[in-house]
Amino acid sequence: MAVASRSKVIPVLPKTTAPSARSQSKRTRKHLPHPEKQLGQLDPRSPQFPNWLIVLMAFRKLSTPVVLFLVMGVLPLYAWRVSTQKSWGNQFTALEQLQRDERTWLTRMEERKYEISENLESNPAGFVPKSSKTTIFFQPAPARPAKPASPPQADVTPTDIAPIGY
Amino acid sequence: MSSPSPPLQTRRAAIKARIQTKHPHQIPNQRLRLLLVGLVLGGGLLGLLTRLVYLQVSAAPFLRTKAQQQQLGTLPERTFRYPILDRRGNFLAKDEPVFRLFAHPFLFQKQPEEIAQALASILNRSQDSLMERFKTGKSGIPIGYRLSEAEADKINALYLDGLEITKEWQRVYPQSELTAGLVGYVNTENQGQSGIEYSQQSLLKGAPIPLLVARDGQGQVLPDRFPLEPLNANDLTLKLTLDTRLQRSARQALHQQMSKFKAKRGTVIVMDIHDGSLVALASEPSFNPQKYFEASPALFKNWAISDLYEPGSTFKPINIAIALEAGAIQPDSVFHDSGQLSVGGWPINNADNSGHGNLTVTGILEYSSNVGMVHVMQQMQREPYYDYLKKIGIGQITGTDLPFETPGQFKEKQQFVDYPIEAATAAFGQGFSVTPLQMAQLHAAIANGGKLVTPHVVNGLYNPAGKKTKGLNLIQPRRIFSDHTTTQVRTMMGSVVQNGTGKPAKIPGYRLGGKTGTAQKADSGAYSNARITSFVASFPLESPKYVALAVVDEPQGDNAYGSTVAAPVVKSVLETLISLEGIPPSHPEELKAKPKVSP
Repeated sequence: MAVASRSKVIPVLPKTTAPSARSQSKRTRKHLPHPEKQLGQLDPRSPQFPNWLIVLMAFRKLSTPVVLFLVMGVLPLYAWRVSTQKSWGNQFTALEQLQRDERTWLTRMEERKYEISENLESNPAGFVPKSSKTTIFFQPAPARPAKPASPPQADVTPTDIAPIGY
Repeated sequence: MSSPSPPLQTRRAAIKARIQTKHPHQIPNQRLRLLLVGLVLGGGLLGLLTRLVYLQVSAAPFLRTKAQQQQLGTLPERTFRYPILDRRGNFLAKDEPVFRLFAHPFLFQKQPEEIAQALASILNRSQDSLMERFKTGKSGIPIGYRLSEAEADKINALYLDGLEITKEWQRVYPQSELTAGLVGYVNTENQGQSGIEYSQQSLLKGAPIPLLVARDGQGQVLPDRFPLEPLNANDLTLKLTLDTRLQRSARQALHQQMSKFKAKRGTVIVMDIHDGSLVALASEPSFNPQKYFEASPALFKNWAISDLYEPGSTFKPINIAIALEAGAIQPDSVFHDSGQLSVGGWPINNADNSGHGNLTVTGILEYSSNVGMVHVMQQMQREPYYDYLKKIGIGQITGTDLPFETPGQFKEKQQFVDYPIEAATAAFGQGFSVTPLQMAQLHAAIANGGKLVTPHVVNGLYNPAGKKTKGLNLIQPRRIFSDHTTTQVRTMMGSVVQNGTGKPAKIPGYRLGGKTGTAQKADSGAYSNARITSFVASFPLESPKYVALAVVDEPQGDNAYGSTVAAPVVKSVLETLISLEGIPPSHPEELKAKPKVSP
């Protein structure tokens, strides 16, 4: 089918074939009717294709690449969806493993605390239990009176201050 | 047209001509064929549509159920029983999953030798012993106990038919004997049998709603349908008011004195006087809750709560408070202590069998004079005295949340009123019995200004956000003494420690109020030589926060008195308490280092 164009003038193949006209000798061509006159031209006001078909064909011109793009895009999209699900599942499995490790670690830590304390009773190894004899209490210093904020010294140039670190 | 006649046409020319639509291809029965193809395609489409409608409408419920059966599952439960923590977040009881392996040989798809070989390396058993086990029956053969999670995973990964792994929960007690008297233990069916595990069974039993999740073909969890709430939203913990550090220190001090005096048993109670929360409760001897089957069943009841004893002299401050409150005496009333007394035909002596002459009420406490106390309480009528004793709770339970509490023993009112000897012996703390916990409760009332609080060790159920979801319904504090009376008694008790029998409990830089107690134990109706020594202290004296009571049962030796056996225990515990709670000294000048004396 011919490609629709905005104009409704559609060239129609003439009843006489142009190549066969060319294959004939020049002298017989004189006897043939003029090619232009043979070329039929349609009346623009009477299109061959109905309106809706033209609209449909225009739509198809637009939609075909879109559909192609969508179809080609579906597969990677689906693959991405499955991969996110899978990576989520892997992360969740890792989380479950971490929770399990945390629980084991907590239990072991508590048992270890107990072992250490028990051992300390029999073998102090220099550790002293907390008691009032090993605690220092001191009185807090009295609150200092608030000093008025001194204005920043404007006459201090940077060269006056020697760096301490060097 | 100048075309050659059809029969002489070459095939190529024929095709060319067709393309140029000179001779359109004539298909015989074109219309019929078109119709047929159309029918076939249309029929196929119709068939598909019908199938679609059938699947989506009629078979939908069945298919949905089937899909859910395949996909939906629950997350494994995180714990069976809620863990128990102390005040600072240390675990005292915790659930651990353990797995049991069963074999059903009649379901074996592979050879038993192969299965035994695969299991032998994981279970650390020989292949032959496993083969022997397989031969013992057709189904339900226990193969492995107490498998860890890692081992269970490995066995699951083998994907062998005929092996079954069941999950159980085992309760672990990291602090072992230290808190066994309070926390208790659970039996093999995870039912609490003693301690908090028993009395708070309803709180501890977790009832988490299983979380539904969708799983894919490999068993991995899918993010759709994942619950929106945080996974640990139901991880509640039971928090206690106990401080394990103080508990350890108390136990150590108790052990020291008990082994020095070869005592039968002992207990130390440290209680916050304002709300009754127990900071430490150590009872010796203790047991290992994980190996409860090896312990004597008598240990499962905490004797500080379930055994009675006659308090002896530690009850004297309470009596004085009763007498002061009733207006029978004044703090500066003087009584004569002759060393001996006869009441209703029964002789009453002082503990040291000597008289101290005229004593003020404070002096009676300092010397712990029995005779003096009898005189003091004789200023009150016996009936109001009995009623007051009943009012402060003698003969009743304290209402604590620890189980197996025993109410004290107390004579009947008629007997008490009729026989003067009953009131006389009650004056120095004999003739009736209380539990050590009740003693601590009564002294807390003296220390906090006259309110009887309920001793408890459970704080409540907390959620992971730190919010209390469930508390305990305890008896509300009630007033038994006035503020004025208790202040006077506290002053007297302070004097006992400074000047009286409580001197071994003196802590430099601090002031505490205390009272020693040495009581004879009654044995089949008569008092024997066995003693029960105790010391109670309220600390700090100026504004008390804690009460500490140490009771040591049957210390041996001639020098076994409340002041020598129990007072050092309380001193040691209070010294640790000072450090843990940061209680500053009230008399820092006593702590100044003495100047070095040059030789």
